[in-house]
Amino acid sequence: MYYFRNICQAIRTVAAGLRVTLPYHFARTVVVQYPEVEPTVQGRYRGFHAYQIERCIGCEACAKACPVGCIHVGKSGPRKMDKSRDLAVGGALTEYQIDYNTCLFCGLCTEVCPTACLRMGSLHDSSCYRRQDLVVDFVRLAKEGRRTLLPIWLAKANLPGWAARVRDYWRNLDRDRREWMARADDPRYCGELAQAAVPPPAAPPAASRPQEGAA
Amino acid sequence: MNSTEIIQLLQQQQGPALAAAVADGLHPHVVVPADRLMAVATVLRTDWRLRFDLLRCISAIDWPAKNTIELSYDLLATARGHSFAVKVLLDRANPRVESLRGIWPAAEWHEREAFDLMGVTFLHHPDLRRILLPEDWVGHPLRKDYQYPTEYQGLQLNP
Amino acid sequence: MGLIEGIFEPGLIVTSVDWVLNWSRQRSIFPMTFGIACCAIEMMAAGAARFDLDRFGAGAFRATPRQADLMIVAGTVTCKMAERLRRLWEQMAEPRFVIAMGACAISGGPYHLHAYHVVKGVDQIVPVDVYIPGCPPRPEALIEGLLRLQDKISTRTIAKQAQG
Ligand code: SF4
Ligand code: SF4
Repeated sequence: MYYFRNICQAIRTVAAGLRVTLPYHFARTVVVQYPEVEPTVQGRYRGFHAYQIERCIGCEACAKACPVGCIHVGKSGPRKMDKSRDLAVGGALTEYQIDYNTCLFCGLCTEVCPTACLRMGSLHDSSCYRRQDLVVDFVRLAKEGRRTLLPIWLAKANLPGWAARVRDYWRNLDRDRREWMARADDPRYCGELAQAAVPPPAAPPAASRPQEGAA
Repeated sequence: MNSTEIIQLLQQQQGPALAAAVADGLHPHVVVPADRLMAVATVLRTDWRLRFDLLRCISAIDWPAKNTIELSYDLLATARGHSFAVKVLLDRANPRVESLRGIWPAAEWHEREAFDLMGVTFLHHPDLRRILLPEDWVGHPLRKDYQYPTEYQGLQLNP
Repeated sequence: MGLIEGIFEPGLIVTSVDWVLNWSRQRSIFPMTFGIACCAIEMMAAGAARFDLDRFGAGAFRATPRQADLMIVAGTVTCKMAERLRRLWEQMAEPRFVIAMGACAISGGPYHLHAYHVVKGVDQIVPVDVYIPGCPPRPEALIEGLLRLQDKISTRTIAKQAQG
C-alpha cells in the first residue's frame, strides 16, 4: 500500500517541480551579445561606484563602514555641506581611493553616506593587467570630469554598419529597462535612489545617457 | 521520551557520574566528567529506551575565562524521535578525552575537526590528523587566544 | 614562454608566423575548470548558453591541466589549496595564462583583513595575466577579461626580445 502511495507522491512532486522549470526548457535562449551590446542591469545593481566630489564632505563614514577597509580618504581641511547650494565647501579633497582589488560591492559604504554622494553605479567590468591599476582615485577621475570609470565596451563601439544594425536590434529588445538604467546614472535622481523607497518616476528623463550618444 | 525522563534514566544507571543536568530550555543536556564519558555514551547508545543512533555534531567551545574547553555531543534517536546532548568540560591547557569513534563512527571526522581547530586530543582515535588545515600548520585557530600567522611557507598572510 | 619563442631574428616571415600563431591561440583558449568558490557559479554561467564563452573560442573547459591553456582561478584560495594550485599550474603546457577572477583570487577579498587561512592574492603563487574585480564578477566581466587576455596574447612574438 505504502509502495504505491510513494510512487504517486513521487510523480506528483516531480510534476510540481517541473511545472516551474519545464517552461524554461522550451523557452528560447537569448545569448547576451556582450561586447557589442552593453549589458542591461537593474537600477539596484551594485556595480563600480559613482562618486560626486562636489557633495562629498570627506567624513570618512564610508571608510569606517567598509568591511575590508578598501576606501582611503584624504583631505586638506574640514569640509561641510552648504545646504543652500547643495555643495560641500571647505578644504579640498586630495584623494578618494577605492581599492577594487578587495572591494566586495556590498554597498555598505553607500548606505552610510550622509550626503548620498557615493552610489553604486551600473558599470560592471574593469579588468586589468596589473593589480595597482585597480586602485581607483576618484579625485583624479573628477579632475577629468568623470564620476565613475569609463565603461570598457565603449572602446569596442567602432563597428561597421551591418554590425551596428544588429547591435541596435539587440539594444531595442530591452529598451525600457535600459531607460531605467540611464536614470540610475542620472545625477538628478540620485537623491531619490539613495532613499530607495521612492518608486521610479514614470516619464523617462529628457537627457539620455551621455555614453549612449558616444557609442 | 522527554529530557527529564532521559536524565532520570541516566541517573539511575550512572548515578554519581553526572555533574549537572539541564532538562528544559533550548538545549537539554547533561555534563559528565571526562573519565565517565565513555560509560555514559555507551548507555545512551545501547539502552533500548534511549537508542541514540545518530551523532549529529560535536562542538568545541573555548572559554578562556573559565579555563575550560567545552565539548558538546548532540545526539538524535532517529527511531524514537528524541534528542539530547552530552557535555564534557576539559582543561584548557591539556584537553584530553576518550574518542567515541567506536560508538558512533560519525565521531571520527568530527573529532578530527575538533582536534584541528581547537586542539582537543582524542585518546584511542584511529587517525587523529588535521582534517581542514594543512598538515604542517602551527596552532589551533579557533582558540580565542590564537595569534594569526603572518606567513605560511613563504606566502604573506598579512597584507 | 613556449619552446619556439625568443629564438628567431625579427623579420617579415617571423611577423607573419607570429600573426598566425597568435590568431589561432587567441581563438582557441582552453580554460581549465578551476572553480573553487562562489565565483565558479558565474564562471559556469559564462560558459553556458546565455553568455556562451564559445563565441570567443573559449568554451571547452578541460578537466585536466595538460589540455588547458588558461587557468581561471575563480574563488578563494586557501593555504592548503595554494600548493595544489601551483602544482596544477606547473602541469599546464606552455604557453599558459592565468586569470584571477573575483576579489578573493586577486587579494583575498572578504578575507583580506581577518583570516588566517586565505592566500592574500593568487599572484603570490602563480603569475597572473588578467585581474577581474568583482565579488563575484558578472559573466560579462569574465568575458571582458577574456577579451583582454586575447589582446595580450596578440602581442606575443617568437622573435628575439631585447634583454631586460
Ligand atoms: S562596496 Fe563594500 S567593500 Fe566596496 S568599498 Fe563599499 S563598503 Fe567597501
Ligand atoms: S570573490 Fe566573492 S564571489 Fe568570488 S569567491 Fe570570493 S567571496 Fe565568493
